[in-house]
Parts: sequence; structure tokens; C-alpha cells
Amino acid sequence: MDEKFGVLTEKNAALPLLGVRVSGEITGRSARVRMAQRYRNTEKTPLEVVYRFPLPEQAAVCGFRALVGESIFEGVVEEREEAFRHYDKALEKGYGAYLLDEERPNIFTISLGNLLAGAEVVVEISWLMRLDTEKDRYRFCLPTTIAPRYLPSDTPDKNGVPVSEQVMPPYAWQVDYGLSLSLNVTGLPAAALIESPSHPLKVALAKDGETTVSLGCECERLDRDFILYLGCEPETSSAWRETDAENAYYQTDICLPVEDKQSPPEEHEKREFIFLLDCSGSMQGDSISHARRALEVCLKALEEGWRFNVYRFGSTFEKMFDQPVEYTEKALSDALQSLENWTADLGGTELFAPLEAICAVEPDSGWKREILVITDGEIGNEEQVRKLVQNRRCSGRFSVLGIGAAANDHLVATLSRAGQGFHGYVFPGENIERKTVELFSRLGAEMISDVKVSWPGENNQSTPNEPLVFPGRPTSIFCRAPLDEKPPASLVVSFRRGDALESITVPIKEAGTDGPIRLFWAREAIRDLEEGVHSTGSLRQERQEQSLRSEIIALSRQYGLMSAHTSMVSVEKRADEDRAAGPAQLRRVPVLVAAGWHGFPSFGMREPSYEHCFESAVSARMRKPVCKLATKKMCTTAKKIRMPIVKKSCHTLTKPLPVKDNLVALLAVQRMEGGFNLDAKLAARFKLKFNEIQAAGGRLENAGEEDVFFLVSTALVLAFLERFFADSADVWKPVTRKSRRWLDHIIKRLNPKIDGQPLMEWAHKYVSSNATHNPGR
Amino acid sequence: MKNQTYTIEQLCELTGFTRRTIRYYVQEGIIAPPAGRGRGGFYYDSHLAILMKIKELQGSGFRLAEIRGLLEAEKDPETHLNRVSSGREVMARYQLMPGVELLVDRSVEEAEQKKIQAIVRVARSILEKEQE
Repeated sequence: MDEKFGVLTEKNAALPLLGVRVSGEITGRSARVRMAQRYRNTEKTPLEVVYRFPLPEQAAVCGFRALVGESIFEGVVEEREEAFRHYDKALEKGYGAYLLDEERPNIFTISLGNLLAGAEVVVEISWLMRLDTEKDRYRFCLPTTIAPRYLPSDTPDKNGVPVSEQVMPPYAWQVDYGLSLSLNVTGLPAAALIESPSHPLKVALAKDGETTVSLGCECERLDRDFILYLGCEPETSSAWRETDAENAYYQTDICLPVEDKQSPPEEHEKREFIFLLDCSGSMQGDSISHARRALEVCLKALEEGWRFNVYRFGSTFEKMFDQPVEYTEKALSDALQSLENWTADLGGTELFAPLEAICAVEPDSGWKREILVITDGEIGNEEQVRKLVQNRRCSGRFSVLGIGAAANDHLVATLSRAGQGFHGYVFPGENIERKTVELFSRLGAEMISDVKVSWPGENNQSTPNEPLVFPGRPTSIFCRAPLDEKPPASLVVSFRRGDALESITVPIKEAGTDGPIRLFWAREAIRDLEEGVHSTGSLRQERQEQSLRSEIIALSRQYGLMSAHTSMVSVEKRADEDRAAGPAQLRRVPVLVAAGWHGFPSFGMREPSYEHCFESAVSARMRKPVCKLATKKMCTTAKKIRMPIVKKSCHTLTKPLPVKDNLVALLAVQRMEGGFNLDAKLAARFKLKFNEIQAAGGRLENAGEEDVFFLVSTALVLAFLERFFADSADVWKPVTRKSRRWLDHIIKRLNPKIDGQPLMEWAHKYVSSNATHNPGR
Repeated sequence: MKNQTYTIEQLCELTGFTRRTIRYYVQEGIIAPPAGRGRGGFYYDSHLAILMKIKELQGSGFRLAEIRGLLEAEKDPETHLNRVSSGREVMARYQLMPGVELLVDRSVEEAEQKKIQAIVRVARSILEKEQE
């Protein structure tokens, strides 16, 4: 019997990657992370090993080295082709060589040349990153696999090589290298939340306030993002200064409070909402049902006088209406009916075409357009999409919600940056309805524009050049300035909120020398150049491609950071007797197919028909684990994925899923004209008797011509929201604006009463003495 | 005449391809591996000719996937570009997708080679899209 299991090469040898270990420190919103990959050549000939893997989109990759026995070979930053030349020449001579290339800001390729028979090498990649902020928590994300990317059939080759070669690794259903992870977290508030929707965690608290977070099982599959949420204190604006031998580097985090616009919208406020829903095959399963429900809530929250349209896309795209239509009872009902029948049946993720169609028609004069894209972003033509949106900003503001176990964070981030909007992510199992509504509610916030910071000195360079500041969410802006003898004590940040000019003064704290701020500055400056927004704010086309490239390479080399135009390379010179004799055999390390890819119910099953997509992957046979790094046992999720193949997937799932989130359930009964239509089931969720509510309607006085039930029902829903969802007021207030306005208007006009008490007073008392709420999920 | 030999650097200079791209073409079997000592070996005129041909086709807008097909067709006309004789006419046959072919009179094909190739490319991309 064959004793070898797992992924084998054609010659029945084990794949050279043994395991991946990630360690790091998280302090506040910053993280310093290291990834170690251990390789061993179990074959009899020298190997060239190529492994393509993901890193976070925002990572400032600042270190790469190879550890061979006791020796360390540090990588140096070189222009991309020059780095390859060093690597290639070293291979010609039989030396060892190690190369790290950036294919996309979130896709990297590591090449190990001339790994000798029996030899073992550990390569280490290190990076700094800023954590995303979601309301009252930070979100740390470590992607572990690259979901298959869709490329339009007419995508031109790059440098004579198909683009798919840059972004697509070979795939396998089973590999036996795994992930171990350990992160030290400092500065957490007392009793702060530490949780992960993606993995079971082990949390150990140390005396000095440090917390160690590691994976619940020793070795995890690399088939889904690792997500870590860390509770945080409410953010306030702050600023730091750091120096190196030549420059001072500043960082300011601007955080402005959210203002609830209670006043009715001005008559001139004309808003148009375009929703763009990914219905490609990769959205099959639970994602599409939840996304539909989320859209329903958004549609019900629109206001009279606004316009809307809904697109869905896959290989082709469809729109509900030929052009954005006025928000009326009929339009809403037509839209909801169409939405109910939408499934993820449109094939590939061809995002460019619907965006192009939206951008082709500018909104009418005086209308503000918001575009909300809900997608897993699994495309390989991110740059084409970004340029389209960047060049057509007049067509509206683009916000993106990334969905899935391995959403393309580069697409999500670059599209929202180019479209000057928000972005957010939903991991399978997280509450997509709530997240969509959260994102939607932020669309209603007033735009902050004309942000200016009083940076010191004349020759300063700030980045990002077009900072996007939104109320309730911190935005970091960085600046490099020549060393100053008298550094300023504070920075003044001025901005425009709506029509009003405002400013805040932020005191500067000293952050020492040679810390992370200089690298964050450099990463942002490189990104500005890569994405075509340079220091004077004009677009890339206006400058020579070559000059931009040179600028990126110079910055990248100066700060030791990776970029699209640079790579890191190190060469292990060997004595004559140690040189590789004969050519190295190429071994490409396959990656796991992302969990839930093409809708296999979240972390569930796989379908045979998709296996043919991976013909190029190495044959998947089981073998005994050989790696010492971390493969003693696979966790329970791995067992789930080995479930028997099922023939029926959930492509055709059209039955709406029950809404488990009570907030979303309440928002889903909002009426087009304002007000809420509470029903018996929803009332029962709050332990209220529906017949009592109906009876209360009968006792309502001074209701004029208004429907007494809707008045009582609306007052009760608003009372529920105030009482049970006060901490999510920033989410529901913008979404319920029209209903609150509708009820306020009637109360002011008629002063309706129940049992002698004003309606809202009665509702609050009734809810506080009768209703209960189990937060559940 | 003795066959000229080239190092990879010389090939890069002569063709404008990067070293990385040439290595990729070797790896993919689009051009033969260098002769001599493994990776550091040398290349012949035949390598140069194929690379120049690829460059030319890329200049006409062809992508590598299509170029591979065209190169194969040159090597093995039977499988890819079936030239069929019907009476006095000699037709070139391009398969656009299984079940769809384009027949072109040989004389037209020779005179308008680039245009025909462009038509094939566009037609294939349309059919590919439709299939998806």
C-alpha cells in the first residue's frame, strides 16, 4: 500500500512547503507582522519552488530574508526585472537565490532557487499594517488563500505573459501545509472584545496588559481569511511626530463625530442611489440570499423624491429599470418583486461592464449619486476598474461591501478609494444585512471635503493626497517634512462639512525615531503614485509613465518597501562543491480553494463539477503529515470540508432566509411613505401581544384621518429602537429618517394620545414595561 | 553557415523581451530550453526567430494564448489550421470553436493574413464570451 498521502509531485515526492507560521504585535490600530514559510526538498534533485500567496492589501512589506541553517540572507529591494536578473544569474551559477515579487498589492510570489536535495530553508516576510476600524472595534485581517480571479476574455497580456499567470496560483482541494498563528496585543481596553468570525481562538492574558491571541487549533487550513476583532475605545483625533536622520514624519488620525441630521432634507437635496449586486457564481449559497435581504432594507429606507436603480452582474449585467426611477410605491414594489427572484446565476465576475454603463451617464445637474457595490471582488482586472471609476468621479460616489471567506480586499479598497466612498467586509456567517445597512446609513452622512492640515515646513509631502474623511471613522494622514528645529506643538485640520467650514486643533505627541510612521508614510506615498494620484493631485496620464515608475522605485529602495515595480532578492553564494549540479526542477506550490467558493454552503461541501477547474493542480492524494512546523492535527473545520461530495448545491435557493437580526427585521417593515408596519411575528420577537397593539390603536385619540394602527406601530418600533438599539443609533437613525419625520409631523399637527398620554410617551412606557429583547445573533 | 548562438541577455536586447518573460516561455515550452549548461546555456537563431514572431504577433494585438495556437498551427497544420482542397480552390479553415469554422480562400488568406487573424481573434473572443 502506498504510504504517502497528501499533495504529491509527479514523482511522488512531498511538496516542499511544510508550513506557515505567522506572529506579530498589535498596538492600537497598528500591527507588525511576520510570516515564516518553511520549505524542505525531499527530492533527489535541486528544486526551484514557487509559491503564490496573499497578504493584506494595506501591508507595507518591509522585510524578506532566508534562513539557511545558521546563515541569514537578507533581501534587498531592487527594480523588479533587475531583481529577477540577480535571481536568475545566481541560479545559473548554482547558487541559492530567494525572490519576492508583488503581483498585486495583495498577491505576492516567492521563488526559491536551487533548493538542494534534502535542504531546508525558512523564509520570513515582514510587514506593517493599519487595522480597519468598524465602529467600536478594530479589524485585523490575514488572507490565507487567493480565490480564483475572473479575467475578461479580452484582457491583454502583460509583458507578453497572460495576466492570469500573475494572479492565479495552482489549486488543490487538500494540502498538508497548515497555518499556525500567534499575535501579541497591547493597549486593549479592560474587558475588550476579542473575537474571530473565521477561526476558533485561544486567548491568554499576561500580567503586563499584553494579550496573546492564537489559533484554537495547532494547525489551520489556509482556505479562508483570518479575521480578528479587537474592541477599542471611542476614537478621538490625535497626531504623532517621528524622526529619522533627515526628516520628520507626522501622522494625524482625524475622527469627527457623527451628526444626526434631524432637520428635513432641504428641497434641493436630490439623491440617486444605484445598487450593484454581484450575482456571479462565486456568490452562490447564503451570500446571495443575505445580500438580497440587505438590499430590501436599503430600498425601503429611500425617501420620496429620490431616485434609484438596481443592477445585478455576472458575465453579463441586468438592470431593474432602464434608467434611475423616482422612488414611488409602485417602483419599490416592482423592485422588491424582481429582487426576490435574483439568484447568483450570472457566471463570471465581469464588474467592468456594469460600472462602465453607470459611469457613462452622469447624474442630472444638482443630483448626488451614491453607488453601492456588493461583491466578493474576485476579479483580476482591478486596475482597469479603478481607472474607470477614477476618471469618471463626476458620475458619483462608489462604496463597496466585500463578501466572502477570501474577498479580494485590493479590489474593495481600490474601488472605494477611487470612488471616494466607504468600504466594509462581511465574512460568511457574519450578519450581512446589518453590515449593508451600516454601510448604507453612512451614505446618508454629510460629506467632509476640502480637508487641509497645517503641516510644518515648505517642502513637505503629505499622503494620501486626497484623504477621505467620514464622520465616525478615523482617517490617517501622513506627512514627511524636513527636520525642524522647532517642531509645532499641534496641527490644525480644517475641512468643510456640508456648507460649513470647520477646523480642529490636534496636539502632537512625540513618537521617537525610526518607528513605523516613516514606513506608513512611504507606503501611502507609493500607493498614491501607483494609483495615479501624486503630490499635485492631477492624474497619472498627465505624467510620463516612466517618471512615475522611477519615483516609485526610488521611494521603494529608500524605505526598503515592496511595490509594483520592485522586488526583494537575496543570493546565497555557495562554495563550488555546494553548488547545484544540473538544472533545478520547477515545483509550484498549490493553494487551497477558498472555503465556500462557488457557494458550497459556507464551510461545507464541494461539488464535483468544479473539480475539473483544477486539472492543472497536482494530484490530491493523502499522505502522512511530514512537517514538523504545525501539522499534528487538523481542526474540525478541516473535517467538515472533507464531507462527502454532494451533487445538489444551493444555486437555486430562492426561499428567503429568516432574518435573525431584530434590528434588520424592524427596518425591513418600513413603509415606502414612512412609518412601520409591525406584524404579529415581529411583535412576538419582543414578547408583545399583537392584539394588544391593535387594541391600543382603537384607543388612539386625535388621529385625524391617519391610520391609527400605523401610528401606533411606528411609535412602538421607534420606541424599540431607542430602548434596545441605542448603541446602533448611528445605523438606524439615517435609515429611519423618513419615518421619524412622518411621525413627528403628525404629532406636531394632531397631538394623538392613548389613555390620555401623548403617543410617544405611551409607546416608551408600554415598551419599557412589556417588551423584552434577546439580542441573539 | 554556422548557427549563431546567443546568451539570454543578447536575446533580451534583440527581442525586447524581459529575462523573466523568456524564462517563462521556456518553462511553458513555447521555446525550447537553451542548449548547453542548463539555465546558463545558449540560444540559437531558431529561438530568436520564434521570439521575433511572437513579438510581431503581439504587435498585431494577439495574446499569448492565441499565439500559441498559431505557432502550433505552423508546426502542425492538420490539427489547427486545416487547409482543405475543394476542386481548384484551396481553402484555409480556422476553427473558431467546436462546431464553428471560418473558411477563407487561400489566396485571400495570404494577401490579408493580418485582417483574417484579427477576425478570428474577435470572433473567438465573442464566442468565448457567449459560452460563459
